[in-house]
Amino acid sequence: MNKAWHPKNEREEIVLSPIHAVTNNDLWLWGILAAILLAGLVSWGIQFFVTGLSATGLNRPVYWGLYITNFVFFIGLAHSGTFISAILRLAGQGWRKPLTRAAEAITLFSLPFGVTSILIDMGRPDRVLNIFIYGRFQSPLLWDITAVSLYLFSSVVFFYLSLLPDIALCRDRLTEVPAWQHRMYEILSLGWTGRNGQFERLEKALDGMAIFMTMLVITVHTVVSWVFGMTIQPGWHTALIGPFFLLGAIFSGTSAVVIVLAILRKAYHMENVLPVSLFNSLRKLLITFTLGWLYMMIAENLTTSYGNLPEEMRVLGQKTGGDFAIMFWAMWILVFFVPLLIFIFKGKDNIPWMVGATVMVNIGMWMERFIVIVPTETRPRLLYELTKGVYRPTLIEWVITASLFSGLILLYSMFTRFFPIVPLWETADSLEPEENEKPVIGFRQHKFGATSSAMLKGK
Amino acid sequence: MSKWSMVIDLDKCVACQACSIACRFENNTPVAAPDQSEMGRAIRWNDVFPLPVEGEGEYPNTKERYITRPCMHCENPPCIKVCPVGATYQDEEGIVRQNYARCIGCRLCTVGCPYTVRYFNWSAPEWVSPLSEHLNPDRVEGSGVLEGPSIRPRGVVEKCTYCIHRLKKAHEQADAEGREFRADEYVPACVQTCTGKARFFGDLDDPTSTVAQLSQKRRAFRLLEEAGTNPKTIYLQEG
Amino acid sequence: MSIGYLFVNTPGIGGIVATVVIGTAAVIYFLLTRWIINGDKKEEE
Repeated sequence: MNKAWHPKNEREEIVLSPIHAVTNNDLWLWGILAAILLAGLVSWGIQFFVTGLSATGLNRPVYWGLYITNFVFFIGLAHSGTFISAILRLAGQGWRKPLTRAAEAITLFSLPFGVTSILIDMGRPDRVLNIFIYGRFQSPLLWDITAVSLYLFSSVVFFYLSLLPDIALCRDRLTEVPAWQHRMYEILSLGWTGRNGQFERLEKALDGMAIFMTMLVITVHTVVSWVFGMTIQPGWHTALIGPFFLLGAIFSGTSAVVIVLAILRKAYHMENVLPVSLFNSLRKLLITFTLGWLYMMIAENLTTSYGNLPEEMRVLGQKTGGDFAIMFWAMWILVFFVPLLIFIFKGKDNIPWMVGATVMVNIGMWMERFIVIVPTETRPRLLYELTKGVYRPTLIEWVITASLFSGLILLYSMFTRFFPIVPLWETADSLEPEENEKPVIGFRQHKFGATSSAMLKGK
Repeated sequence: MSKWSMVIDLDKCVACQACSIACRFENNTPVAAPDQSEMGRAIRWNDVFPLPVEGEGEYPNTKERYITRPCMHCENPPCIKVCPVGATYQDEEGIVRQNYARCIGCRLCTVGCPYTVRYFNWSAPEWVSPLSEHLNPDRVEGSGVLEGPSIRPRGVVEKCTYCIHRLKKAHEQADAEGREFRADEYVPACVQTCTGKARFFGDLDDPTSTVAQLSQKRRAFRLLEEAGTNPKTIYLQEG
Repeated sequence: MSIGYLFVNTPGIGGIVATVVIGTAAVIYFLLTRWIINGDKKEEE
């Protein structure tokens, strides 16, 4: 009775195959990524120990620039996982199952870099504990800290719990891995046996957490937007900023999932595990999000320009025809015009086109974050006449930005070499006809009602 | 309790910038190298700059308008609301204070101020000789408190304090002499220095004070009144 | 000075809220994980 039970999955061989050996190509990739990460660390070290933020291109009135852009972007990227796992789970969308872990891993690994971006931007990161000792709840930053920390923590737990049965699988199936790796599986699997209704309880817990994570997703990115929205600066102080950021986050996050899935599919020969139909489902969502983004932009910019308030028009003018015009219109092309055309006309059953479009979306969305933040700062209410508020990011800022991305990719690809990136237990074939169909919140059918009865029958 | 306020008569101001210079020396403002100043990083607690004019016209029919601007010390400040650690706060006498010892340098207050009166220490302050030998020795310091002309470290926000150290000194002087503190003993450096005698300072709650009476004049206005910040730095319009 | 005003303005209270929220989550997640792993032990013979 001590032997663990694992649900049967015919794709097990393929899904576990990446874990069997770390290749030379991997080592090269990791080496390069680590080098970039190291360059970022050195840059930050110079900034922290030697120069202070004077090493950046920041100035008065552009007090926030690349680092805060990165913060918003990486937190936004994190919404991919929660959207796929939690929201689609609650909506009973079974096709999401092979994707959940790959999407959540993006969440898991991008959140820390979002949080790090804040620390990099602070004038006195050594005083970060002041936020807890002297924190004032009137400040949007406190809402940020609370929500993002809770989100990070909950994402880790959600991810780990979903991973648990598969860690046990690795512990039991992968006998020829190095001893330290096997030990890692043993420790992390917490003695999982798959018996005694563990699967039932796990499913219940994940259902509960999915509801909570969905609420968190909505809260977190809205609260991040309120750091800007709660000031009275033109371009920032709009009621739409919460939904605007939220949609942008889900949009860029889902696009990132497409990119990641395409790479995993190619690199690990998972054509059957991650079929084209998944990409087609994501494509439909992406079309919806692209049109949603259009709606937000029209609502925001039409309202602003129709109202014609001078301070608002100065900021809008910076975007449409001023210092940021090139970036603004490039953003429209990269986020909207080209991807929408690709999604509608070229994307069906065509992964390369989908990847092309989603890469564009993510580049454009990074620019969108920049465009929300910086133009408003260059046209402050009182100072606009004097300020030709110009912001030219320095090399240190770019290196640090690059290192955040390389850190994300590095952690992600290392993860895929030690744990199955497709959840084997969630995509398992049923053992026998469902005897205990337990719908959860009326949406989902419980696949492992069979577990306890199977055990009773001595399987 | 006093409600400290400043009134600036733009008719008398000639934009000589003596106020800005006096402020820099009084408050140990760090010096900005030319390239840093070019980037817009010079710190000027009191700033003198042109205001936009309607219908500027072409030479020789041009109009110029200058304003000298300390901190507004708003009654409803947008900056203190957003500070996560209470490093900037409003005291009972209406002065918006800045505690360098607690500031974490997040700069939410600096982007939140609609008047752009706040500044950030992008690097550690440096003075060369002979400036370094003539720093103002006045300090406002205590346990966990570093304010006013105290030498601030890199990475914190600073701004005009209505020369809070002079208020402290005036109180100490009155206590030492065993008498009541009088409001007219406290005057910020810019007000004291103004060559055009354009600046006034005092207690807005005292109906007999100069600032209270001037604030009632027809010419009196406040910057960005529609923003709802209710600034206590009041201007008298030209003409 | 209502209690609401004091709550959002007093330095330190915000820090306590953040810590309590995260701390409570930590406790709940620990108990949740333990509950899952323990399973339905009554079923064992």
